[in-house]
Amino acid sequence: MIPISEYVLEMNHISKQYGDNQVLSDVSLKVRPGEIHALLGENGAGKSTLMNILFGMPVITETGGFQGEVLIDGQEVHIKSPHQAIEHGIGMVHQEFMLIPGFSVTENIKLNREISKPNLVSRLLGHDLEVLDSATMEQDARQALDKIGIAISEAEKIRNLPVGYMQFVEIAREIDKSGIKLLVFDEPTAVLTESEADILIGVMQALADEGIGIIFITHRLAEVMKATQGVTVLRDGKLAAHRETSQTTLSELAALMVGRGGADQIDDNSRDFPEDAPRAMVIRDLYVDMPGEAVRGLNLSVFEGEILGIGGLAGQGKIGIPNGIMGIYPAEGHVELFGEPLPLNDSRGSLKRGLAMVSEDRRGVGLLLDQSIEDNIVFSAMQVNGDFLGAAPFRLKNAREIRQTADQMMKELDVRATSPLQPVGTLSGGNQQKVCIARALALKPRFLFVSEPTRGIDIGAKKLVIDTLLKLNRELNLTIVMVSSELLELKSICDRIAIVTEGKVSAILKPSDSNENFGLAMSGIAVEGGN
Amino acid sequence: MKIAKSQKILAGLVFLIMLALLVAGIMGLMARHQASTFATLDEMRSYSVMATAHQPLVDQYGKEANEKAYEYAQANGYSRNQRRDYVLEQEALARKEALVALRPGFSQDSPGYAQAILTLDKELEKYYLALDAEEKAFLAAKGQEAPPVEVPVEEAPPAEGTDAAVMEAPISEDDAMRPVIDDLTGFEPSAALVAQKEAITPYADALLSEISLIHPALTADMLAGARQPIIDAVRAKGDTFETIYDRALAAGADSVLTGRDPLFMRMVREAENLLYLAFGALALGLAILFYKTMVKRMGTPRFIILLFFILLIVLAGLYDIAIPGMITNILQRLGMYGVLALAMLPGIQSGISLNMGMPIGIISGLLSTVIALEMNLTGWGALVFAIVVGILMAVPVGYAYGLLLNRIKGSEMTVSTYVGFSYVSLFCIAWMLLPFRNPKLTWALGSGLRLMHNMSGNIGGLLDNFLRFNVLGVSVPTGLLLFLGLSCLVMYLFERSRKGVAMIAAGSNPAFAKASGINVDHMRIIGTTLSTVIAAVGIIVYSQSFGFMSLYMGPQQMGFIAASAILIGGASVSKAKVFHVILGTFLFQGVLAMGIQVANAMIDVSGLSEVMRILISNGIILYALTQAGGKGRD
Repeated sequence: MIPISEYVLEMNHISKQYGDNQVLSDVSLKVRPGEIHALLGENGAGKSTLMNILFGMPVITETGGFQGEVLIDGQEVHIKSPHQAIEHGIGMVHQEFMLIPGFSVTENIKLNREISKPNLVSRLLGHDLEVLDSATMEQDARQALDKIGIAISEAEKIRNLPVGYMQFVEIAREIDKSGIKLLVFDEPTAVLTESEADILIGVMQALADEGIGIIFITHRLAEVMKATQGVTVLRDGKLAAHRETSQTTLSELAALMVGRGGADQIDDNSRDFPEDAPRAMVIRDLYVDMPGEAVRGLNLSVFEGEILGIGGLAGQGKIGIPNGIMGIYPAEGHVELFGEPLPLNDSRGSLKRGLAMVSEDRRGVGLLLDQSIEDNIVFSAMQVNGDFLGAAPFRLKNAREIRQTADQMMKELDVRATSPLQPVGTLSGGNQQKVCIARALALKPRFLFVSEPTRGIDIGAKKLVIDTLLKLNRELNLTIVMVSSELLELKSICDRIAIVTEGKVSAILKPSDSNENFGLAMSGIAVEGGN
Repeated sequence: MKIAKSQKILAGLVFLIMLALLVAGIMGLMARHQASTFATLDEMRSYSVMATAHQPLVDQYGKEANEKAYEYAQANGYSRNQRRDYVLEQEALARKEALVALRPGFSQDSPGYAQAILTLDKELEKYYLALDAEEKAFLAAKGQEAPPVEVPVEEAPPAEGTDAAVMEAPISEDDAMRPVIDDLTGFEPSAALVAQKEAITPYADALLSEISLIHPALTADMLAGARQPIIDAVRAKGDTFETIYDRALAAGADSVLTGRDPLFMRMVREAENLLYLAFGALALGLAILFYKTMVKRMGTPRFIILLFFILLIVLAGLYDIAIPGMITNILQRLGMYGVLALAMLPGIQSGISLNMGMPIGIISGLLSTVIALEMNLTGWGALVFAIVVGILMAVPVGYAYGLLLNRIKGSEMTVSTYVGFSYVSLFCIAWMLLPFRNPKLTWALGSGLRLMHNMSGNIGGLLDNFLRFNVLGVSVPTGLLLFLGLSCLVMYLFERSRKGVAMIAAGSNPAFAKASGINVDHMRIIGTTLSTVIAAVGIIVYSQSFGFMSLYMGPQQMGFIAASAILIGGASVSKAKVFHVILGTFLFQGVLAMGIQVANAMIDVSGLSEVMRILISNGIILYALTQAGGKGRD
């Protein structure tokens, strides 16, 4: 007789490395049957990796597996593929909908698990040619939809449904699978309106009441407090805490998510600017239509000579700000640069007025990967300001001047390469980032946007990039707005940090402010800024 | 780059073989100048001369045996078939016996016989040298006043119904590119040469009398009948070491050699081929040794095509295809197609990928040339007029075409292919309807422009023959190559200008270009227009070099040829350089030109040439399109 385990899922002492990069170390997660368990953490805290391990995703097995044990109903299991995960009764509701728009609700729910009837041909030629048993399939689909209390027709095509309902079809698909014990909801409320989110949470509770364990990944702390029984918080690949929801508070969770106390803070370089200091940029009512990073009516001022950080969780719109102002994505609103109005949706105009940007999409927008370092560095300056060109009438590239500038930039920013002629596509991420910065600097900007400057580069290079930015600010009095998902990084060099949630600034904080405040601001809960 | 051990061993083996071939070849070439080799060759020759002289005797024996066998068969009542087999069998037997019986031991040869051959040989050599010189002079004189070759198509009566057939059969470029076989009609040897020929007679007579001394059985009649074959056996026109040796060998001379051994003579004979093989082995060895580096540097497709190219050179050498003529051919093709391939460059760079709508530009060039002809312009004036007007017409068309391409981003290649086809068809109508009046251009009956137009007499060969010079038998079309070089230079300079840099950035990374304030659509229009303009110039250069201009369906395939060339050169559909154009055109046209000739030499069937051309050229195009840009696609 196997003893019924207290937990439907136990993941004990899980560690995982990608190469030299430790993404998870000694993380544990336990979920009881019928429990809604929140999994919290910033972007990159290790939530996705943990779930990938649970589902036996190829990305895990291909990179050398993981350490630790996974128990389902008290039995140790070795899940090698998503298919096995399904067999063990684990289901996932994806953040991006995995539905076929042209198929009906029933067809999507039953996709790849169709119920079929044998016929003459199939008896001869195998199962693949059996006829679909539509009636039974629709009945099953109806049952699943009823279970979650959603009144949509099972015959409706997915493309005709409102976005919020697609989520429910995903859920219906998972619970239609027989023997489902554990459901993972990956940020299900991110795309939902508030009322839809309430319905969803209701559905989750109904499912939990039937004894299904639920892992609820979210950024919205209020939902956590409202719906869950247990919370596991991850930070930087480590287990930050495990709490019973009833015994914790919103602010404790926020602090746990962002970091405990000030122990791990780097030197605070912040300076205070008086309220009436001259403004380098004033943004009023900015809207940016950037897919996944929309800005919705944002107001923000930047002082001359300051380093302003813009933080916030992914998808909240922080990246949309520089992209909108630089004319890369369509924008609306009023922006003043050094007291003069800045026309929007005009990249050349922005560049000509002394704005420059280091894009977060280094390989996509930041660089011409095929071309040499020197060509990349001088490109924008040549196009926008007409620098680095030879004498009239032909105005060809001035190779000598280009080489000079490239050599100088490479030396100053410590770009490691065999020669200025090396194609940037062959450089490491950190060196590529430095080339991006060099390109922006070649424009001789008065105002620099730096978007996610340390994304995807190693620790040593990160520090170099950050130090470079600090140096540029202090020596050239260059106003810098740095957008980053890494709060520590922002805290280390910024004078002020604006936290963006849902396309708006939710708080402007000082680097010295408590983690609790940062965590709350990121969850969209208004806090009193330290400014 | 690390070289694996197996590579080293394999390459070492190939190099050993190469070394052996090289040594053998050089030894062979050197041996050709040695007295002992000459002596052996002379020995072989005197045998082959004697064998030739014996031919009438052998024939006679054969005839007698034939008659005898016939009678015997008759007497024994053989059936018709039996009789025929028996007779043939007996005759062959008798001939064989006769050959053996007549085979003279060379020890029996009188010294006078050998001497007579040598004397005759010297005289013949002198005569043939003089003859060659006169023929050459004649051809040179003829070349300068070459009457325009009339196109058979134009001679055809323009009756109803033939037009369609005519349209289907435009002149193949291969026919035009085939090396000219010297046309000696109308050649008259000078009096001095005739006298020289007469002067040879006594030496030939002396040889014949020597032969009759050795073989009294040969009657005077027989000898007189075999006179010319005997003289030719001594030395025929255009004889070289190889031909003399081959002839002697065919006569069975290797069995009687006393000086050098037959194998050595064989080596001397094949000396040049051995050197070609050594070259091939060298290339193979290097390819094995530096396989990885080369593949990395130029990508697998170019590596394979380069190997194929070298294979063709070796084969061309083995099949005695004249290398200088072939190089001339390749240079000409390079100039002809280079500018057309260059037209692909700005298209790729600006991000519209391969401009398969190139016929749009080509037709502008054709139209301007036809206008020049309509106005009866000739010479440089016509060429300059055609180019300038062609450019002026191509700009607005290219601009409009660019606007179209901006609306169909992502499927440029498919759409542009069909835009090109439609435009060609549209102009099939236009060529018929446009109001051209010059009778040289229009159909003899009715209106509309003819299918093919002869360029000679107006712009034909203007660039080709500008500063043309000969070096080592290679005729270099200086003007043509200069024009290509100039076009490439202009394109290269454009690449280095602010607009050019912006255009390339817009093509290779639109998001990047946009972030730097570049109007990507505008850059694509510039690229498309440039491509169209260059195509217009390209077809004019092509036509003047080709000698004919083909309207109607002519331009349809040009896009594929140009696209293949630049792809073979190493470009991808999103990245290309001037270098790719030149390398690609050279490889594509080089492989095509040599491939056809080698294939024709290998498969000796007349009329196969056109089939081979289509097979090889489309094969290369297919390969280029599937393997495009091995390096760029990583």
